[in-house]
Amino acid sequence: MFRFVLRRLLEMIPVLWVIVTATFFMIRFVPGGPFTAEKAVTPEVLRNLEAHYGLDRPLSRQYLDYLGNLLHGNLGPSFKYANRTVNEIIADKLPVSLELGLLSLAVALSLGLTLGILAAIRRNTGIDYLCSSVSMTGICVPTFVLGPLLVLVFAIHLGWVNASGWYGPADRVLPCLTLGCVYAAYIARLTRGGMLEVLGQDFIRTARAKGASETRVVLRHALRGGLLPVVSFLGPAIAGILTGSFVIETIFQIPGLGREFVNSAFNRDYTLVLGTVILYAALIVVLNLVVDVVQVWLNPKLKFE
Amino acid sequence: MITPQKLPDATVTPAQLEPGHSLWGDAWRRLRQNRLAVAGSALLLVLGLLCAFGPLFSQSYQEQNLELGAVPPSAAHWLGTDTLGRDLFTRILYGGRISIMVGLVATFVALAIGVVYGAVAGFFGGKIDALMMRIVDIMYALPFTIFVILLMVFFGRNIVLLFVAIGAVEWLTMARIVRGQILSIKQMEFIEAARALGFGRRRIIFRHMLPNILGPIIVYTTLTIPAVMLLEAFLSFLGLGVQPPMSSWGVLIKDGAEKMEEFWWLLVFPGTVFSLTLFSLNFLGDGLRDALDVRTAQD
Amino acid sequence: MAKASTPLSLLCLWCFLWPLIPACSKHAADPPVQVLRISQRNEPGNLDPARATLPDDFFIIRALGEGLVSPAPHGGPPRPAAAERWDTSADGLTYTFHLRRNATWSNGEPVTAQDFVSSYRRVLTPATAAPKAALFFLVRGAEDFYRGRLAAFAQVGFRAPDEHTLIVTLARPAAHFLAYAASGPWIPVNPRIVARHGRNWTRPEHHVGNGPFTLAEWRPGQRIVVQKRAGYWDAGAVKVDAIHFLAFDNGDAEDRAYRAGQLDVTMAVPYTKLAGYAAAQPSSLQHSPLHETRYLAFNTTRPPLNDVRVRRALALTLDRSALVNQVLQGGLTVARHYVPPGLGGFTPIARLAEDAAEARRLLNEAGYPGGAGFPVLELTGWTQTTVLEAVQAMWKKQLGLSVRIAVREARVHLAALQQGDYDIGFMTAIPDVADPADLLKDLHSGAPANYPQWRDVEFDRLLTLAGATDAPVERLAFLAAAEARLTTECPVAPLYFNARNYLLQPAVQGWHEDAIWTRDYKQVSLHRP
Repeated sequence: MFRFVLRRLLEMIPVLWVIVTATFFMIRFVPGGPFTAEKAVTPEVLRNLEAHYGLDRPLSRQYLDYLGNLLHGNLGPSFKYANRTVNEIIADKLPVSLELGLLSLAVALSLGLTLGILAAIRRNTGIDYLCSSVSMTGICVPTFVLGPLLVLVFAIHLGWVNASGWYGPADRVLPCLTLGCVYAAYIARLTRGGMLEVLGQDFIRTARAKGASETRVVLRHALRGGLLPVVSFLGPAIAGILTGSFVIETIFQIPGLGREFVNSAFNRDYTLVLGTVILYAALIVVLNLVVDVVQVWLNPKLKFE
Repeated sequence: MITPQKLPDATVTPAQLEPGHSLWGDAWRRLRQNRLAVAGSALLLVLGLLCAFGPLFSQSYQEQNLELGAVPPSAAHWLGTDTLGRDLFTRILYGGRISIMVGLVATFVALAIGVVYGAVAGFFGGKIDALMMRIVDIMYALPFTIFVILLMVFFGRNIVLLFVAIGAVEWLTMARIVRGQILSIKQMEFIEAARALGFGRRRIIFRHMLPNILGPIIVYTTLTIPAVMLLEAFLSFLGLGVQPPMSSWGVLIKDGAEKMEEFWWLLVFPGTVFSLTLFSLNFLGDGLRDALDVRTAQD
Repeated sequence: MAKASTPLSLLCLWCFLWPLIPACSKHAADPPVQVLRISQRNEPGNLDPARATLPDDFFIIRALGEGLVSPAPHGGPPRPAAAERWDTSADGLTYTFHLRRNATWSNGEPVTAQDFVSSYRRVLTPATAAPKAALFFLVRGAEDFYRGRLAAFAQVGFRAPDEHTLIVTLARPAAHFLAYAASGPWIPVNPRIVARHGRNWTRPEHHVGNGPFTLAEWRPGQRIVVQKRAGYWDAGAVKVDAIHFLAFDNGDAEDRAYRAGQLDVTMAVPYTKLAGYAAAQPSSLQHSPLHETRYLAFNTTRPPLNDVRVRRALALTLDRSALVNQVLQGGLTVARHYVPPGLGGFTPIARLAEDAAEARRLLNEAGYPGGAGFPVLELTGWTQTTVLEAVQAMWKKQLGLSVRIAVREARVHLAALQQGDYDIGFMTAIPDVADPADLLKDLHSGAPANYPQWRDVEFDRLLTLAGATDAPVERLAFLAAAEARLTTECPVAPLYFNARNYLLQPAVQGWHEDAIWTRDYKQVSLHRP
């Protein structure tokens, strides 16, 4: 297993290189630049600006310089936020996103797994229909509807929490609930589907025949196999949650990475786009590795290849 | 309705051994007995027909009445009007055409690519799997907004691009799910048996393995459809996808969410239709899954 | 607080994670007595007056620093700021500013005339890449120095004979010079601090300014806090202890925060909520006109838009009062000409007459009777798509023309307009200073912001005449005549003048802002119950 993980981590290098290279050139071909504004600047000003930010050098040169800096862990200065480097922006905002993400993930997992398991073991009963309907509702109500609704009720009408901001512990409640509910809905559906698949299989029948208690059958045997699709889904989903959700962060004005992720592309903040993409890519690769490890753990028949 | 064509000769599964019933006949019979699935399909059919033919009899989706503005439901406008005084019912019908088409086609694209890709990677394993999954990792990480803008820069505004853009992101998770499932059943006895019988790889993947992991595929497919419909709204904001004055459910809901306090009907009605469709799709999906589940058939 | 509402699972989780949550102590609810909370729409990219571009950046810069003069809150001639008075020479070429002797930087150093000269030299140095350097070009030699045609800064018209006197010599007499001197980029920086910290000088730990407030905290995407500065020469007049600029990316989130009592001043009320606030809280809803023009730019190089009759037909057909009152729910002003009235004393002499019959006649004359044979043009924009939809419907109804709407990502749209790669584009004209020439020069042949790619000898000639005259009345007359060319040639179709419709807590008093986004925080006071 150690060799397996090590090999995968080594594979990360070419993956990141491809992503950096592709992103670096893609964003340069997008119309509009960091200095495009409603009031167009004169060509002279533009030249001065480009010289100031080193954008006047040949693209290949800029690319090599960027790679060189990257090897030293230097993501460069931001174009939009003049007095900060991309490293600083990420260091500043990642903890916020991590906190939002982990809390939401806890909500999502506790709610989603409970609903999914209940629905699966009480298949085609009232409980199943109730759990399934709740999770379906979660899928049908997008975050940009649920978030404002929660704010209207709990912040504006009841006045229990703030409508936005990220200051005290109470400010965590609504965003984490909103983000968590959406993922909970997905997890519940996938858990139910995966469990049903497994509950019909021979080894469950064997376990039951051997006289294992129903709880043991469900939690030990069925859940193991049933979680497979959930785990596959969770790899990229966690990467998405941890790097922040643009919609949630905008609704609740949370200073996380999600807004930078989206806005840096709109601002043509080349270095910030690359920085966030690299972070996201690294997370994806690592989490997909974790998923693969967990899959082996869930299914002992598998081997690390 | 999307995957069953891969099933007709899942020959080694025990269901086939029971005399008198074909797999399809069994599935159809079980599907008809599932009341929720039947209700779901009926509702889908009605919605589909309404969206397809309703606009022929109603007013234009772009007929404005600025003096009227946004009014709540009335006899003249069953579901009310939007801020430009356009009939919401008509706009929902027109929007449905786009959303249903985008939802189904883009999901199908994602499904087809994701299933085949994931199955191949999972089946072959080793270096092929590693390479294919690293490509998936790369695709995940590429910035989507920039990708979409570039698509439009190079190819212009084109409905096909919409499917390319959505398909490009939505198949990834499907591929990972399918791969995980394939890995988990790869070592099972019936696959070993099929190998021992000397069946080709393609036959083993598509006729023996895939039918056994249909559950998660169907579930994830039904989850992809709403995601795709909402993604379409984001893409039309970037200029890909439907452009005003045409609309889609995603755009209507996004628009309605901004105005929900003043003009509740602008969110409630498109939201309801959207939810009804998704519920129906899920009931149908669940029904299909149950109906096609060869193992439950024996119980 | 919200525990009763959250599911049990979350509550349990809460108990676990409680100790892990950092920075709980800094809660928004316990600020000092007089804190003004203002919504800030765009996170400032830069708080350096030389490099900032957006009005949003200057909202904060103007709290931290002040120029020689500052704009009057309700328009009118600029008022004394860092300069307590000034003399103008008889020929109108030389302005002698007398700086306040008691003015200090926030690090205690006195503000000297030499600091101003160094700041302006910095703006005009090409390597600084100051985007708004052109606001200094009225000064003798400034443009030449910026373009590299003049090597010695000593020859530029800035001179500091002593610590408290700054003499500015203009290239030619210009009565509107003070409006330029009041603009944001003329706010000085402390040259020693800038030299020591480079681009990091605008961080809270390094920032030094000469304004009524100091930069206390800058949490990107969250808030910027400025605090009253005791050493400011007019500290007695400043009534609030601190201002919190709270980041809000959109009007809906901001509106919810206002209603939850987290904000005192908002940026813009979503237009669908205007009627509701006007009815329920008329005392909170504020309206102030802005000197900004929303217009449609016609690409005059593309047929059939190269035909003035077609452009006129399109411009004459629009029902602007329906756009303003019905589509946008009021709160804005109909624009039948290009330059906002009152901008630098501007009065228009010609207006577009909305006349659908005349428009049909023109279209007929241009060879498209009833719209027959007219190509499907593209109407592009990136925001306010309802306006585009209404415009599309008006052209269809009145002229029988079909146009296609294409929404684009903001910078894709702007880049397309700058390259002339569009048919009809929805744009905003925003002046940097209170001077009509600042807007009109954008339509001069070959100007970078001349999105219609329009070339008109007569228009250019009138602008040149306006630039050559030193009599204010005559200058405005030339500018009005130039603007009248726009109503006959129609390279653009003005739609409406923007306005700021925002919410202000009744507790806030003395809130002042002018029509080009300048605020005066000194007058603001809070009277919370």
